Amino acid sequence: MKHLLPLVLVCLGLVGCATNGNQSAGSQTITNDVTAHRAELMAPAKFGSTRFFREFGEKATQSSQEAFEQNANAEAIEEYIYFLAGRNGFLDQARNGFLGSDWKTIGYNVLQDRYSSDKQQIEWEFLHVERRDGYVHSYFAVHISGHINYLNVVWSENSETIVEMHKVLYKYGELEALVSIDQLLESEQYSQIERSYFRHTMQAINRSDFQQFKIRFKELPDDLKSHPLLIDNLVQIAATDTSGILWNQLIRELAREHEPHSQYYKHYLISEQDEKALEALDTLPEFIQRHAGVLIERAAIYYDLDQMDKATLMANQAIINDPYLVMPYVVKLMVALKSDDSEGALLTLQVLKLRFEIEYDKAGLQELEGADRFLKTSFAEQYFG
Amino acid sequence: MYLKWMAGLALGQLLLLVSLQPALADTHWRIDKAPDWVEPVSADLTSAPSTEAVDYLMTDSQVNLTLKEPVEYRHFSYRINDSLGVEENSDIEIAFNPDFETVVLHHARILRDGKEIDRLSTDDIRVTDLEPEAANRIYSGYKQIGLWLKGVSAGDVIDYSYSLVGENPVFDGHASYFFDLGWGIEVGKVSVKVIASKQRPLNYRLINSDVKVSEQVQGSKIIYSVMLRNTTAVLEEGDNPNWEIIYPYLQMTDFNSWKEVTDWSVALFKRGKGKVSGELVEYIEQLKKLPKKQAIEKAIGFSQEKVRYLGIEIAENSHLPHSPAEVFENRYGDCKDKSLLLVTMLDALGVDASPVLVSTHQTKTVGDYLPTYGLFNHAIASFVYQDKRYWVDPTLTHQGTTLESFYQPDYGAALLVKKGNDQLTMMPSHSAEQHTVSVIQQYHASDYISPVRWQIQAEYTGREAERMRYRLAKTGQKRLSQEYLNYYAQLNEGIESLGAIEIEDDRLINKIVVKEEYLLPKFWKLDQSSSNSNFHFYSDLTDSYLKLPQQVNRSQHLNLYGPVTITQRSELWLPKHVYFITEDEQEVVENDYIRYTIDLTSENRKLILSHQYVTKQETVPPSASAEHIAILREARKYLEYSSSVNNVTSDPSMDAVKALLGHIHQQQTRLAK
Repeated sequence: MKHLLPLVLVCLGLVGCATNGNQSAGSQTITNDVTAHRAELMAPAKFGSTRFFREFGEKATQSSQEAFEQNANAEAIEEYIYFLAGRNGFLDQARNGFLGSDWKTIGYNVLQDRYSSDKQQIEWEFLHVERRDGYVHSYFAVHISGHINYLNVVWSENSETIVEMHKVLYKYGELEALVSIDQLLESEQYSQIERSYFRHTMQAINRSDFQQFKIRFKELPDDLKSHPLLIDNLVQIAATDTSGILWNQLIRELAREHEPHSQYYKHYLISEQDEKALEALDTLPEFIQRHAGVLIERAAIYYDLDQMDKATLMANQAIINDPYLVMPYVVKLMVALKSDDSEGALLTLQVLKLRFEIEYDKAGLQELEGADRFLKTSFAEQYFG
Repeated sequence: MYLKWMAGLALGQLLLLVSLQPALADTHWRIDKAPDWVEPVSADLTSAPSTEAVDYLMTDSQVNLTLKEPVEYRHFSYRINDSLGVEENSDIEIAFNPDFETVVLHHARILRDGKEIDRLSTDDIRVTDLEPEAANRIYSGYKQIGLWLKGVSAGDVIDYSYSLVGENPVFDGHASYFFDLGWGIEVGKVSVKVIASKQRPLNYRLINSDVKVSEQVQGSKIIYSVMLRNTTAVLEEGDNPNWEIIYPYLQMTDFNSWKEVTDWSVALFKRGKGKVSGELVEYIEQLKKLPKKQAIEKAIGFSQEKVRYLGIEIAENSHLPHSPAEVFENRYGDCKDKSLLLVTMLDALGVDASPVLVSTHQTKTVGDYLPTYGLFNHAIASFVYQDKRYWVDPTLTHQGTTLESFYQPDYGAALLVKKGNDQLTMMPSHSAEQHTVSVIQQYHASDYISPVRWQIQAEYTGREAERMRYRLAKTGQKRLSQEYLNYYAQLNEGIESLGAIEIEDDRLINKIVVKEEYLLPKFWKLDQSSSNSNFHFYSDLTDSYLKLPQQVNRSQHLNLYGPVTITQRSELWLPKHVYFITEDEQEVVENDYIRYTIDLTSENRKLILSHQYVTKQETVPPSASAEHIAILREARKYLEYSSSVNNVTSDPSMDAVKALLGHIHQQQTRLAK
């Protein structure tokens, strides 16, 4: 059986696999423009507006690091850190810095590192914005060489600058995690030795040193072993460390014991806990669940479970919701072929050709399950002539 | 219980003839001359006919309270001017309570060309049952005497008089009258006379009138009288609040204070309480096993949902409640029956509870009248729990099921039937935030030519949730789906339903959500010449709250439905982000009575148009009505919105995408089912 899973999983950025991501039909200009309107669009976008974030996405697509540096401010980052600490009831202790170091510098550097782009093809797609407690949360689907990372870029409403990055699949934002670690390490809830083991466990995770991790981890009290901070770090390191078989085994064990959460999504899939994987996707914000990336994840799970009606519903919905992304059509084609929906397959092939300039030859199509049957139909004749 | 004070005195009553039976003169009525104490009043027959179908020449009401039984004498005289007048005014109808009243017919004549034609013939009299509120399951036991006049022609004057002798003992000899001093048409002469005992004088108050009330002492009697000539027609403008009295009245009563009215009602409910039955005691014992709050909520639910509404208001039960034991056993009762049952249960649970008299008509203006039982037409219950007073209408159903969530109606000034109470209590008023309808309509477009999926989610809270819950129960989900589809089909050509409506009902928080989904094949209107695709929003929900009243030039109050907050949000979900020329605009149309907000915004790939209507007052006074009408006209300008997306045909894949989307929509519909 040909599996759809390896092809589609990329969309949540959890395993590596190549597709062309956020390719869109770029030639069409759709505005109800008039001269005055054009002039308005030439003016700098107002902070917080849709145009502002769309333009930020375009800049970040060019260079996320530059986009960050043009829009970041160390003082605002420090202020945000104090906001987080205050929310946790930890403000007084937090003023001593992160383990004694200056928050302003650490905070800025951590974010700068996270926003630094490698040489991969990246495209930032703006999705949604929300305002909470004086901060603006802008959500993006970042298409990175076929992955999709869902990011929340947090802005200070006062300074109109970036103060945080949060990968939405995980529980903690980058600085939120730092503040929480600092709070835990200064907490008297745990003994000095327990806190020390926790610190070394986290360091081992960050260094991808599984042997050291194992030694420290087993000494931790039970509640620290399953502390959300530690798990958040573990799943992130396992996602990026391709040699992380051992990490993955450990996380799979942890995932069995915990309520479904998007941070475990990949591990549910690997351990064939499909229901939990679907439930994990349910924990994402609603506007992300509607994004084609998540819908085709669901389609992929149903495809592999041979639940083709549900796979069709999800693939269709992905096209309805995001008709200018190529991946939903690719998945739709695969689902249609496997379901013997020859008309659907033909119509999808025609859109791929006309909108995305992707043409299949017979040999290429035969790689897909169900294509043999399609090729014997009159619909295939219409396509191939 | 219903408004007795209007029933016997108003012209043009609409009557329900349940059965016809031959007249039995010796039981319900007789023919006799007018009493000696009646002072004859005659009509002026010389006035020229008007252009109306009927000219009322004279109405005369005379009441004698000094006799063994009270007697109400009535005399009417009117001229019929045309065939319509003949059609509608040739039958004499007199309503009476056969348990306590006798009708004495004095005369019935046709005056034609200076001659008197006697039409009071025993053979022409019929007694019929009269149950005008049978459709509301209220039975009063009233009857009606009908005298069908023979040979009536245009130009005739009808002249008749009668007396009603006796009264319902439930009033314990108290007097309470509202005499009409004006009508919907002009009246040549209006005369009122009341004879009372000097030992028991009456209080009186004029409403919408400054006529002089004459008081004459004659021996042991006081005679009150009013005489008006050529009264003008009072015209209802429509859309008035219930409490606004536009006709002139003379109110008369022997009650001196609200305490006296309370004393009368306390005695009445005490008499009605009777002995509690074993079954009821057993039920109360079950309630006592629950936590107190839960027991209260269950008792309220029982009185509302387990006892059906049926008003057997015959004889003294017009005002005297049936015993809780009887109501519990029968599982039916009217407002006072249900209220007394609930109060009995709450009392037994150790909750400070009492029945309450209210007026659904006079509401907050009850205190503007003289104290009397005659103002009230409804009974509810009230209790105090954890230092907070609650008001429960046991005749309501489909309410929220917790003390925090159920709708407590605001009937204005209420009389707590509680020993020692000497005043009216204002029921708490509501805010517009408590009663909301919020509709979000999402139009999901995957291109600019294909059918659009239309998802509607309507959320109802507070009173609006209860109204919707009742409507659902009454109509049924399937029929409601059909009704909705039919309604939307009038606005959207070719609309298709994508499934039955879905309901999420949470009675704990008193919120109900209704979800619908349709396909709109003609949402986009492609203009081939310009390559533009046009679309249109219409805020039909808020439209219904912005209707102009029947009469815009007003001298009377205008009632506003509410308090309520109505929100209608239309979201166009686009396949790509589109920069519209105008996509960030807010307009507020506001006065002291309503606030109407129109908010156009855009989000990523969405154009959002929100309309919100919020009431700030319950009524608009006549002095502000012109300004308010102008506000409504201004707000109505924003009900419709049109825009377009340009250059949509430049996409080379347009037709291919349209074909695929058509296929997909069919699949989605089939698979969703």
